[in-house]
Amino acid sequence: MHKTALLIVSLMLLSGFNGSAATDPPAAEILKSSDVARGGGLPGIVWNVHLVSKDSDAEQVRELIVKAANRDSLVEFLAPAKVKGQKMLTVGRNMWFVQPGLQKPVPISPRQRLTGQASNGDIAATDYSGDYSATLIDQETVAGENCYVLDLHANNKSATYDHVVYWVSKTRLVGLKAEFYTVSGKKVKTATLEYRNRIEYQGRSVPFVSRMVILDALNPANVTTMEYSNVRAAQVPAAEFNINLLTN
Amino acid sequence: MNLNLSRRLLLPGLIVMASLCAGQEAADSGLSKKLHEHLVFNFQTLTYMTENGIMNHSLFNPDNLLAQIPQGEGTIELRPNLKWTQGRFMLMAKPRFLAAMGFTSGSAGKQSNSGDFFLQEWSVRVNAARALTVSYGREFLQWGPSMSISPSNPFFIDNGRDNPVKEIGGRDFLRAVYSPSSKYSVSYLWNTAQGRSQTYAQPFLKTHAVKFDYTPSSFNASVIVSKKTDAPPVVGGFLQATVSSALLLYAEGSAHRGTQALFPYQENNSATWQMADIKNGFGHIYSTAVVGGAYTLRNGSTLTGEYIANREGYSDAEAQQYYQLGGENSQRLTSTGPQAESGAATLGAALNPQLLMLRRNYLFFQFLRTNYRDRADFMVRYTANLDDGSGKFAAYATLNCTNHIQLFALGMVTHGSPNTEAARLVRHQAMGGIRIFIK
Repeated sequence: MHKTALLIVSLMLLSGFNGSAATDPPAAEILKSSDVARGGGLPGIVWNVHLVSKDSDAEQVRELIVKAANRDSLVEFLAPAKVKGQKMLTVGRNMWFVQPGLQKPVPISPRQRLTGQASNGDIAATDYSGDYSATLIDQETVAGENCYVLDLHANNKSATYDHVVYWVSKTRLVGLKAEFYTVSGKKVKTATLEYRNRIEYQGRSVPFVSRMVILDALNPANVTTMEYSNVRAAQVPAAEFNINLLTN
Repeated sequence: MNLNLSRRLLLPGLIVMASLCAGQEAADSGLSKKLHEHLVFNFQTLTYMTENGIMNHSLFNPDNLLAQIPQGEGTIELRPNLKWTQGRFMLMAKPRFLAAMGFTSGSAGKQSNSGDFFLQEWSVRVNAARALTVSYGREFLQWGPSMSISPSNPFFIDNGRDNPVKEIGGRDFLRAVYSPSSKYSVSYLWNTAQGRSQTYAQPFLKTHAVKFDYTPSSFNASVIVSKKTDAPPVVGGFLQATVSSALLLYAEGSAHRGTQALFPYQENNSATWQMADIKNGFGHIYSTAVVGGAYTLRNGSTLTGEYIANREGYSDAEAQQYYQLGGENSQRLTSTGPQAESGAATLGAALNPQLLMLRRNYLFFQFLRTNYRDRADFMVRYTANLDDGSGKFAAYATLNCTNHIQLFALGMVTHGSPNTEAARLVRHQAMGGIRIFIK
């Protein structure tokens, strides 16, 4: 019993009382590395998204093209025909929705969902290292892969969620799972991610997100799946995010 | 059918469309590949019926003699939209075909329009430098956060929100937009021609404008300075703040010295009322402002409320004179001889007095729910005229039957006594139809 207690105290000292081993990188660095595989920190990125949102009695399918740079993004709806030409522009926290026929761009709030469980923050490039303060709280296994468990708290109003628990692969440094919480601590949804895409970044080929599945915490029948394809890391001109130049 | 420039310009567009269709069958051909790479194309058709409940005892349109609004109307529209992007260049065209048949009781009877081809909007754009975009074309330029009216926009009185089915004609603009970052931009706009917009009673005046945009993280603001030929400059602007994930607050307005709006007046020693821009060049500063907010509920519905202060609008005394003018000229219109002609001209000017809104104080409310169960959109709007107690209630709904077929309906009802703004022309309006998304 005495030996066991000594072992526990030794391990706590080694881990700095916060679950991280002495050799582990700081939580902020882990988070920053994981952002790259979701478009964060890149000068600009363009990708296509195939989105399927299911609930108990309906299924929505959308084809999107997303252009993103820093905190700005432009989402254009390509299909089905009934939504073709719709656009959602985000510049910082400012958001507008443009619909062919409704000719004036309509300012919208971040609460407006793109479709299904996917918020605009899920579709656009992820900048968790800019939006959240991270603490390494544990290490766990997700889908057979050893992961750092990061506790993220929003440090600015641009963050889509107030609190996120994020599982990042130790070997690949990509986020594999996330749980999203409200200020009151209520879990609203869970996401799992896959990385079968690759992009060229700083002269090397790095993994990039290929699939994200979002489960509604309150109603598990509500599932939104996003498949990312045709990913291009490229500078996106500022004019792309200028509301004055947005045409139908 | 008009054999005009617009129709000639339409033909290349139709050829491109035909090429696109042909290209679907020969997907491996070079032309098809190029079309798919550079061309964005969508195409809608609309077929709808409109019923207008015309005011029988309108002071400004007695027995519908002046406006001759059809009691019923059937309309068919073809709306292809094309956008070609290649390198630094972008070409956008919105050719249109519209055919309508109207039914009016009385002498006007049945009126039909065999069909018009025209270019609703078009634009040629070039990215002249990394941050500089220059374009010329016919566009319906809209900005600002307010839902009711857009006082900061010197080009378009109607923002198109009241009737989402109808398209508003664009004006011809030369535009240069400098965007060094997504936070800042400066635009120069030169409105060179009237295009397809309506200027009602007044002649078109060329307008220059400069627009400064600032879009930091949680708010955005714009200042617009514009100047029409031979008119004092107009300063407009707006500020919109994203206060929380659900709440937007905003303000929008404009101010100018003097006004080109028409007011009722009597010449010396004359008992007859006329409409004239008697405050044009007058030193007083007139302003129009909207203050409002929008809150998004957890289910995605958005509630909007706005207060509109239109200091350019008629005072109680001016409104009284205005309705007196309406009554007098209404009687002249229904008489015979030259009096009828002058009565019609005065009433025509009175119906379009170049005001965003007729009076000075309004409240506006809107409920909007989009993408309900991936099938439907609803919008309900109410505008209350606080000065004369009249109001307008409007509702718009769409139902997507499939990914390609949508039903839509629009209804509008006004309330108020004959001497109120809402009771000038139409008591109610109903519209219903089908929209087909072909591509």
